[in-house]
Amino acid sequence: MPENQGFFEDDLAILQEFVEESNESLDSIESQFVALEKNPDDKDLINAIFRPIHSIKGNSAFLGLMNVRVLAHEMESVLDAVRKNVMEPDEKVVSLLLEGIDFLKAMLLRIQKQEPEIEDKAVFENLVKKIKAVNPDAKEDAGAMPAGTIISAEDFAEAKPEEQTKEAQAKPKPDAQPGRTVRIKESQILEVQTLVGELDGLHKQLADISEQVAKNPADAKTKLDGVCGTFKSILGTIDEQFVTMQKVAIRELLQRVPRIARETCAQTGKPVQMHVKGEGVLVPRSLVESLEAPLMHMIRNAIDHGVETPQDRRKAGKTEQGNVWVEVSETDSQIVVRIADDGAGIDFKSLLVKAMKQGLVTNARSLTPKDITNLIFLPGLSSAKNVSDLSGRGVGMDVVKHNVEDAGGAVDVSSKAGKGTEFLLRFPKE
Amino acid sequence: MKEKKDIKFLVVDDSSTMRRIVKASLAKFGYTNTEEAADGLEGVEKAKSCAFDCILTDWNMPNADGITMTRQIRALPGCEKVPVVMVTTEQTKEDVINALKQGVNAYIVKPFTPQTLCEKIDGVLAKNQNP
Repeated sequence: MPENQGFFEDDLAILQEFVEESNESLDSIESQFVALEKNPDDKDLINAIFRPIHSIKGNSAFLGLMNVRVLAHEMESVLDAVRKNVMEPDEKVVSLLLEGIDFLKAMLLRIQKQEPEIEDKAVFENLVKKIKAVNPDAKEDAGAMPAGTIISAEDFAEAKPEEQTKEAQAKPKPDAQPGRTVRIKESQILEVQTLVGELDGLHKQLADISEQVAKNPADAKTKLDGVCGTFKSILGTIDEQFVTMQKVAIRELLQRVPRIARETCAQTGKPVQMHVKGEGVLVPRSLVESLEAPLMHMIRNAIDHGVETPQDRRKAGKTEQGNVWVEVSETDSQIVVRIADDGAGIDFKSLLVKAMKQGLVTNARSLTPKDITNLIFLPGLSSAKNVSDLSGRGVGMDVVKHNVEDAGGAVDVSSKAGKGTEFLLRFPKE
Repeated sequence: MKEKKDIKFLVVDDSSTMRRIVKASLAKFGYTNTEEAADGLEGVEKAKSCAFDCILTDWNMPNADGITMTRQIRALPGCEKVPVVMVTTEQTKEDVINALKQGVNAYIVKPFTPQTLCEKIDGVLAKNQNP
């Protein structure tokens, strides 16, 4: 093995940086793929997608991650062909590249857990083959770096994926630190450091008081009370800093929305314009995690059930393209997530009939309009006429409600016949 | 001749991982005085306010690529001769010739070993001292 292959694979700090940077950039380009499908000639967009894949390929070689490198290389070649107008980024190509991104992410997760890059070699090779197959520019030797460096011949060594993989996989990484890492701004660390400095000052004051206490107890008490007050306020500020450090921009989650929407639109055959807002809102990291499943489910729901078919929309005098809004905002005390559509609204009548049939409701007359609306949150109920693969199996909204409430939040729904449906999720800020 | 720790490097790459790799490689051989920039534009800005002894740059970056940045830095007063080493995966014959034509002093293809990088840098710095 050439010595420069994987020279840094034991450097955990660099490996960690690689995993984080790659994950972040892959997250950010996911939504750009959807935009690319609509604007296939946007060179800036292609470059913005190309660059992170290019970096992943370049960096992986230093870390001995040869499978990552092979996949990134194939994806890069396809993007390069798109960039050079050799091929169109049609639905098939974009879907394949998104599959590649998913696979890269899965590999990164395994790398972070100190596991081998790939689990099933056949699946990996199959994906690489598929990506290669769509690329009219694909070379036979793709995956290995082309020879041809004249000036820096001594810098360059042929990649040997097979051999390297085995070695990289067999070698245990020392001092592993599995688990999540968090990115923190340097300025925040400095602030906490300053606060610790202030605590140090208090420590000196306390030492002085300790010496004086026998001589002048009354004076010492006054001073102690003063120190106590300052101590408490510093402690409070440190606590606030830690809460801030654990916050992340909801962008992490919202940037996945276009892709989910795209898939659902393709599966249902409904054209829908997504309106996403509030990416910069900072939320506790735990909220991103608990919001993920409900949000994605509700977006699928909004497209699958909320928005009508283009034919029905035309009949109702609406544009064929439906609209779905996903907006995150904040008040003093709450994070508010709004998911709304301009579809037909919930069919309360059929919902009520269904609920009665299933024995979930016995006396319909006793129900207020709000009670009827809330029927959608009952387990096993769905107003969808056709149970599809996407949603409408009645396993949806009750789980959504449960998840949201588990995170300390609440769900509200309002719906108007012919106008659409709006869900508001509210979570406490702290 | 300056001591190694006093030689000031600017490392320009849009990948934070790559910047770390380059910095770690330099540090292995005693070059510990480094600053970073995340793209060509930031690179030019940094070069305006500080005299670097050597600039290591990626090629493909957002805002301004490595070649554009080199041209702009060389146009700055006092920076006409600052050695620029291109650290990149672009490696066709045309790429290398193009980069050298545009005024890049040396060209290194990723992946490299810390030793190769530093040998190259030693060479470039020595040449700059005694042209």
